[in-house]
Amino acid sequence: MKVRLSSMSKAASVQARESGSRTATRDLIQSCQEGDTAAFEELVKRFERKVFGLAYQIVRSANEVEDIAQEVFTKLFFSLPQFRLDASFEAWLYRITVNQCCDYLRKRKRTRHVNESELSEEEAAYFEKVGSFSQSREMDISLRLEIRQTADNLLSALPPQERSLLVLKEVEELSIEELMAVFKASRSAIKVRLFRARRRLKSLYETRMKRKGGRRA
Amino acid sequence: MNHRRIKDWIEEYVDHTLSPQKALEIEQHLGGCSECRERLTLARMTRQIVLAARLENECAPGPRFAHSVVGAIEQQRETYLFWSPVRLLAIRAIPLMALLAFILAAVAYAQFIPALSASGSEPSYVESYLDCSPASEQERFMLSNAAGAQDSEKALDFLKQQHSESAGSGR
Repeated sequence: MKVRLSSMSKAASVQARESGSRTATRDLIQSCQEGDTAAFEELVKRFERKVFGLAYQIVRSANEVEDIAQEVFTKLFFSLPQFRLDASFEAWLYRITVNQCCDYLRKRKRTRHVNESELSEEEAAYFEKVGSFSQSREMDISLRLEIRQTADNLLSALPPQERSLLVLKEVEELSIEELMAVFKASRSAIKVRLFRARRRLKSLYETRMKRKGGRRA
Repeated sequence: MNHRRIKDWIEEYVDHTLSPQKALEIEQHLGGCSECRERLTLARMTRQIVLAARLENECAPGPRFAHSVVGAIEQQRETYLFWSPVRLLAIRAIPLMALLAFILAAVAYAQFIPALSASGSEPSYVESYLDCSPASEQERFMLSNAAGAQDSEKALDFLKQQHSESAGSGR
């Protein structure tokens, strides 16, 4: 009973903290809407890491992330008067970030192609035997780096919108409901987009596997 | 349980956000449905790729990033405030412009389409201006026969008649 009560109070305190932070964010937004730049600076400090992290995962190049983040926050500031306080601020911020990253990638038009090097057996096993290798701490560091490089090449070959969707889902761990708010789409539309992105990623992976098979033959 | 519904729940199943009851139903269905099994494998495999590609967060903002953002905003604020009413006006004007374009198109249609359909019976303004239509009966006749004139006899009689008439009038 004691254990249950303590876990309940812990959950309640987490909930209170979360709701407190949400209220504080809302207060900050309200101040920003009244033109308070100090409040905006505080808001930037609160969310800068999230924006940097997401932009970095989508653009995959550290050099441009700061410029993108600056653009994101500038757009955010000028569009804050239109923000409704009952809406989700984080979803809105994610949406601006994703759009800014996609715009940037479209302008750059420098699509990174999947590396021509073949897939090693360990890499193939890593991706296919889900879960068995991922937690292995004994895995060789060079192999880990190789796997990361391969996965990075595969992910970078996806169109920006699909990459953003997969990053938000798998890396940022957003739920389907949160993705619906970010992309302003219905549940079924999000699921269809996710399925297409996954299918494209798999076909890129298979193309590499076939190339490997062809070279061997 | 419906196959379509199960297929729709695969994402939630992979995320472990389904109730144990639903998860059990999916597991029972997966045993006999290769399409759903493929979907599940696809979701798990691509998750593995995306997670493996996750970049370490070596790209953190500098300590003065927020300050520099506010500075950049201060610089842009005047330009933004100058263009803001224009932008707002432009956005509000879009439906009005669309309505105006529609009215103009309707007027143009009402004015020109009847004129075009009537042009088959009467010579158009352009034709009468250029005066390129055959003027006399003779010209008309000759033109009508020019393409494939068969009745040359009749044409000769007609020309003779015309000639005699003009000679008579000349006297």
